[in-house]
Amino acid sequence: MTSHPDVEALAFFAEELLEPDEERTVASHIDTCATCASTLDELTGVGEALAAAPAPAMPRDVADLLDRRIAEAVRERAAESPARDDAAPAAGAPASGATVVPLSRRRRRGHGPGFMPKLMMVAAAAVVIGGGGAAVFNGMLSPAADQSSGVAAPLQEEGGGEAAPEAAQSYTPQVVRSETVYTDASLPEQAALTLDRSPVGGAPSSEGVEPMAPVEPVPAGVEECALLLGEEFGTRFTLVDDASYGDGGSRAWVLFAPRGERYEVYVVDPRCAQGGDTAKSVLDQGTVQAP
Amino acid sequence: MDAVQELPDRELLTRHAQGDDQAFAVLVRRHRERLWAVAVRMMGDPEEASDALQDAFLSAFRAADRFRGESQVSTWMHRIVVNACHDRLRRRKVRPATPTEDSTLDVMSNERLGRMGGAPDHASQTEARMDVHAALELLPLDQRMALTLVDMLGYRVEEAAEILDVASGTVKSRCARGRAKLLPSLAHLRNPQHPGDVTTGRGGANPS
Repeated sequence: MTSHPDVEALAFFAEELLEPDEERTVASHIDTCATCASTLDELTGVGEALAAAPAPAMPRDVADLLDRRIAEAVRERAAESPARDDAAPAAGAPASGATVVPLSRRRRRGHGPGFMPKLMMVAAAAVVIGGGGAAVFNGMLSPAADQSSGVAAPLQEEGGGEAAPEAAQSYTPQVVRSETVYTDASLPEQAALTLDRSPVGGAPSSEGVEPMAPVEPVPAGVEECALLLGEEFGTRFTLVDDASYGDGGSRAWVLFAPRGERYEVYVVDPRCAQGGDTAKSVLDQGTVQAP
Repeated sequence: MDAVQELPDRELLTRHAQGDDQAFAVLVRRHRERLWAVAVRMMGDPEEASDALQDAFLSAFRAADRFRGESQVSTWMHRIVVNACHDRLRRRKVRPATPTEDSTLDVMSNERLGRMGGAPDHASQTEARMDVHAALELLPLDQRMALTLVDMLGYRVEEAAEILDVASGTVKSRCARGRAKLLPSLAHLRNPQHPGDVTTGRGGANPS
């Protein structure tokens, strides 16, 4: 009598996984060996024992929980900017009424242009321009920060006459604080440096340049101001520097909008969104080369 | 066109990726019972199965735009669930103070209960279940996952291979190795306790 094959060989035999000559050996062994024949049966029994192990049906509360989690995920995706500003809490204004769904903050790919209404395309273009920098920038952030730092997301409403409803659908530029005191004479150089250090400018061009993190929460009024001026000048601002301007060093916002290879830069009075002629709040203007 | 419920899986996934708010929930409802069965058998515990399913569905939710359509949507969802379970099982193996030990303790206390004559039927049933899962804990994850799909859940070897993203032969050999390893711990579930129903002829449960 040949020696007994081990259990694993028998299991392989049952699955017809053995080489032909080995299979013949085991087969003829089993014919004459009751022990191995019964081991083979027991292996079948293992499969049966596994199949017979009871599995509870999905409990109702698990089904409900899953529904809730998915509903949350849908809301989260639809709400492009969760409470980033005291003045604009996103709470309670989820996807309801949103006829368009913004680009997901976390997964910006995969939302084809076929779906986006025309208006959103404009904003999407701005996202693309700033996109490379934003990706690098996101890579530097902790996951938590990543969640709340809205990469420029699309615009929903076209009117925007009054302060944008906080429905978390407004177009949002990145805000930084460079602590620069901009001056008329040095605006191009100063703006170029800010851009270089900023999230939208991509990785800093030289070693000595210190990158800036975005400001959270965004100062009240920035979004509206960027929105109104953007409409005024037919552009989209992707970056705002909350800084100072002029001899007096009074507070000013410096807004950056990509245009081709260049950025248009506007220095504005922070009261720009508080009624009146927004164009008059522009204190200075220039263009700089994109980094 | 209000019959979202009747759209094919692939269409639902595409709509979801394009921003549709409803499509993903429909897709999940369509498959969740099946995927629950997978998760609860993989994890051996409803609580953990629930956690794994949540992980899986959220990751499918976000990954929908990366579905390339090489496989069925349901296979893709299975794969995500199986991966979520795999991650949790792996962490559980690394971290010793886990439900694994709890269930072993449960088995022991059930045995004690049984010996003391308390609720014998329930106890032995619980014991059998605990034994299967305690035994599965002994296996390498690869073998455990293959056996769960094929033996416990009755997936065809080819289906399991697609879900696990390996060759059919690999699934078969993982199952064979796993069964061989489980033999000492599971053979008793049939033979000593139910001498009557031994043996249905070899190969009966292993048609593949």
